[in-house]
Amino acid sequence: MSIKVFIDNTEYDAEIGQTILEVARKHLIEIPALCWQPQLLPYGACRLCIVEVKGERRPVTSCSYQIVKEIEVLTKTAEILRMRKNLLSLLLSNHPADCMTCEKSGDCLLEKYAYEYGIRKPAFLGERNKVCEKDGKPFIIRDYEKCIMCGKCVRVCEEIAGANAIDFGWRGFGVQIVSGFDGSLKDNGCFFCGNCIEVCPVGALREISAEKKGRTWEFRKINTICPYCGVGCGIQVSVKDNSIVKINALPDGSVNKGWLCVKGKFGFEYVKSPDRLKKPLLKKDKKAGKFMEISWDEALDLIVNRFSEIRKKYGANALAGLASAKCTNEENYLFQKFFRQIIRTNNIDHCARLCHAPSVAALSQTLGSGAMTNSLDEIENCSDCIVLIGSNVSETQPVTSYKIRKAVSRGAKLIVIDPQEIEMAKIAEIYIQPWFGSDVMLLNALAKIILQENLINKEFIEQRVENFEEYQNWMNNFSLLEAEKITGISVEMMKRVAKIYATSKASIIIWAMGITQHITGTDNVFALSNLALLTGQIGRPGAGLAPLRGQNNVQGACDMGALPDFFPGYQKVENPEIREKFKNFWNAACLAEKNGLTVVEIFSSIHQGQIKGLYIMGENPLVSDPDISYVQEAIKKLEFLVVQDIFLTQTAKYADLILPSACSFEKEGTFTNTERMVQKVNRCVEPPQDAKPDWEILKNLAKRFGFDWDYHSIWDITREINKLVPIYAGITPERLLYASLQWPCSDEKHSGTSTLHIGKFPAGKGKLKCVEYRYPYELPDEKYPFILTTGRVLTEYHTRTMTARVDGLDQLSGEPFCLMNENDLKKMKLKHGSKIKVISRRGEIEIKVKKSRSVPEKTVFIPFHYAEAAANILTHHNLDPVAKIPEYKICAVRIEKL
Amino acid sequence: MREKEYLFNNANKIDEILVKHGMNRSRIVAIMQDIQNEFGYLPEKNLKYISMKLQTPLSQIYSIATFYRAFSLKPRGKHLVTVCLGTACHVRGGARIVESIQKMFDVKPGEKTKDGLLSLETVNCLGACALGPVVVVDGKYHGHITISRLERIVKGILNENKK
Ligand code: SF4
Ligand code: SF4
Ligand code: SF4
Ligand code: FES
Ligand code: FES
Repeated sequence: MSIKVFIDNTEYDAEIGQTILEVARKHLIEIPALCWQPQLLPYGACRLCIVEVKGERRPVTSCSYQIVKEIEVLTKTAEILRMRKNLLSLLLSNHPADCMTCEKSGDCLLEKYAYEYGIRKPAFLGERNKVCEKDGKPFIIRDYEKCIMCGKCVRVCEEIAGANAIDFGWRGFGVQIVSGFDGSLKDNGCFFCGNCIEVCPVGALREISAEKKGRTWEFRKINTICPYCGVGCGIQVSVKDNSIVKINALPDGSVNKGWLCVKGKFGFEYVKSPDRLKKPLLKKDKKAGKFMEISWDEALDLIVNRFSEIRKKYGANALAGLASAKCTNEENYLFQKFFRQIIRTNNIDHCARLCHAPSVAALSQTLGSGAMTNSLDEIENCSDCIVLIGSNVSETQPVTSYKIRKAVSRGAKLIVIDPQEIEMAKIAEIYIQPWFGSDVMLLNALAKIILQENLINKEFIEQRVENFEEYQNWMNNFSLLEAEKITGISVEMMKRVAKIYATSKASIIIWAMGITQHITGTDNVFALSNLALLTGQIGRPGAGLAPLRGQNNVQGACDMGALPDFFPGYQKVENPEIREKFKNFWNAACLAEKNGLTVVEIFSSIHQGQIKGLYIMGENPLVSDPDISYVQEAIKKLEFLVVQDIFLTQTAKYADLILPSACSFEKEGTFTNTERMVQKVNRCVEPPQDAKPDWEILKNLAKRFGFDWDYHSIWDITREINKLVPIYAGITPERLLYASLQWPCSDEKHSGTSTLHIGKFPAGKGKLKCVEYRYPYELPDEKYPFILTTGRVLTEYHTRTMTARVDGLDQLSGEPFCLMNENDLKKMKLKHGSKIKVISRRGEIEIKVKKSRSVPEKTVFIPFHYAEAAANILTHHNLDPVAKIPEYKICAVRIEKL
Repeated sequence: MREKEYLFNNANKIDEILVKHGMNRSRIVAIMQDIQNEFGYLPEKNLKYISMKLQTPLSQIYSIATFYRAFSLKPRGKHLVTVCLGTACHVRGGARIVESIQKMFDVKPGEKTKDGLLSLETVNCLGACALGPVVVVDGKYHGHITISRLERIVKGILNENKK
């Protein structure tokens, strides 16, 4: 409700419950504030924001004073100004007069207010509270002599990051910020999200990377998008002399609302790594693995010759390409266009196959679209029940975990379902730990309960769901007791979960690899979609299905048709009309009619001798793909392998030709994040030597092949996408300058779509799917008694090509490790830190073991990032029959002491 | 994956205390009081242990441990002398009392004597300003204290020990 407020005798509109400061800031009325942070709860400690309110006997703190009735506020009376000046003088008396050498100068609020209030010298000279520097290595300087005790760092660490690494210590004059026993942040469970630096109003917390690099006015500042995960956080990059000095979060209008995680904040050192590829490299002789530098002309000619040769000899389908979820939309568009228009094959895929292919396959069938149905903001602000299943979100999409944390503090109920007791379980209303690979059983049981207890949404089903009766009949024979046996979860517990999910006003299910990386991946997603359809928990703000995408642009790479069965925009390759449309637009003589091969199929075809030439753009299958020795054998059989990357990856070592590309800080384009938000990427620094943006490489290559790819800038490609891809039609370069847009966006007037499926599904009606439970492919037995499950960790990314080259990240998690339950360690007489051998039917690795309470007994968890102890030497390559995703999450292993 | 790993001794005693308080996180101050009483101070490893058991961040526990005067992070001596240095006591000679105790028994504020018999501490106002200067010896308040009287009291309890 709106209400009148008079501030300094001018009338403004305010909402009931807004604070005076909020209203003032909105209308650009300056009130100084040191301990206030708009995204955090009001605190009222510094008192600098005091104002006079008519009728109140004393000045009030405007940051915490909520407006409930019409009031008159005065912000600049002589008395108020005098009091503020006093407060500032007091703060400055206890502060080193250091501005001339302080890194924060120019960005510091204390300095700013001292200037504005004309304080030249502190009025009170007395004893100063000297607190020394404390340990924040490897990323943070904690120079508490400059601390003004605003408490923002403590609050952000608790309210947002959830780490609670720091707190107030001591009391009175001696009060200071401490961690446990004043130890290092590292030993206190700090995630190094850097958000405490983001909020610190003074120079007390700073980035180690930026020390002595200059001050704020010397840096060029460019806004762009974080290169790491699917959240797509907005970042501001400070650049000096063509080097990145530091990265800050973009506050308003960005997905992340001012927060970042450790990778986005600190993980940029790789850009300037001396290991970057700088020139095209040609393999000298096949065995030695030695390369020599060649020119771009030679390199492109070689590709034309070798690819033409192979095509002539074996046909177009003897060539295949792996696109990249790290590259921009425009680049992925060109990559598939290159293969479809020039080579004439549909053998294109990328690593989405290894993460969310089942989500896309299943949701396209049941709803008609495979993307996340809601926005991340809706999770934060609208969802009342959040089911987090098979997603260790605080490690993989940290900023999403902040949003969930905020939702929980707003009162939303969090239900965590995961065989591992993940971090988020700590703040869950209910945490359940089902047995590995029993998801279909568990989800069917929830559906059964929803039917049995009449928790269904009748109206929704009547209007928007087909085959309800068939499904209901099929469910008749389902036994909850059997489900209890197989999942290890009591019926009673399942009932509680079903009830909360079905009866909350808006429920959302969030999942990731724990659901998809199974041979039953597609079935798992079917079963999730059933729950949403039965209860009508979809198609409203805050209610829906949310597969969290892993890499920064994996959504975009899928959207752009880096898939064997779809043209850009999920337009089917096998549909003749669609083919006609692309054929005409591209001026192609003909286009391949049949669906191409998927990632894992490409490698088996190489084994069978059908595929002879492979072009890999920014992927590293030799670490990321299952059953590595199988992939390695395949790659050796190729007649010609081109790898285009920013580093000499494990895969590139086997290439015949390596092309150096520019990383995302060195080019323009667009990324599409997990919530379908298309965002503009900007160039911050120049690429090293001869490295080029991937799109330029592809454009030049097409020209060599004799095709007139006349793109003058990346934005010409974007415009072509606007024309060909209906869901991107309105997302034009001009609009992207000012805003990010969520697809579908049908024309230039359309403002984008935050919530999908309001009122209608693209498939018409939603479909319920009867999914039978199947056991995982390989279960533990006497010989291999442990379950191996793979996953990711916060401080690493994919195959570590980037993160291993960030010194601080390497210090935090550089060494491969596995986690085992403490009881297993005891039984096997193993110590925390001892080396063990993990053996599966496919291979073995040696690795350090860490004691854990989060993984269940008889289980080993290994992060897949490390090439030196690659978990994927152990995994098998049996696939989900529909989505062709390998089962990374379960295989059987045995442990040997070393 | 952040797994905090600590090594523990006398976990049994601590477990007893935790069970007594029903493993209840909100009883953390009382739990810490019991630990303080049991060991005469708050051993680091024990605080780390309860942090893990109660799933309470160590930073918060440390914050509590440093906030309350009743807690000590270093082993205290067998006997404790606490001198008030609040404003009222300060102006009536609190600082001088600290100084003379320091010289007399060779002990610095916040520390204990070599033989471990006596600890000296200071506080900011004990809420008995009218009686200032105030000193607390082994829990007993002594108002309007003089240096010579305090010397007698302290020597008295130390002699008691030697017997
Ligand atoms: S970096 Fe993040 S987790 Fe670490 S102390 Fe700062 S806010 Fe807390
Ligand atoms: S370190 Fe910075 S954010 Fe934290 S209390 Fe001090 S001034 Fe505030
Ligand atoms: S959450 Fe993802 S997008 Fe955001 S900073 Fe971290 S890695 Fe980057
Ligand atoms: S900003 Fe209001 S009290 Fe600090
Ligand atoms: S000043 Fe000593 S008791 Fe108050």
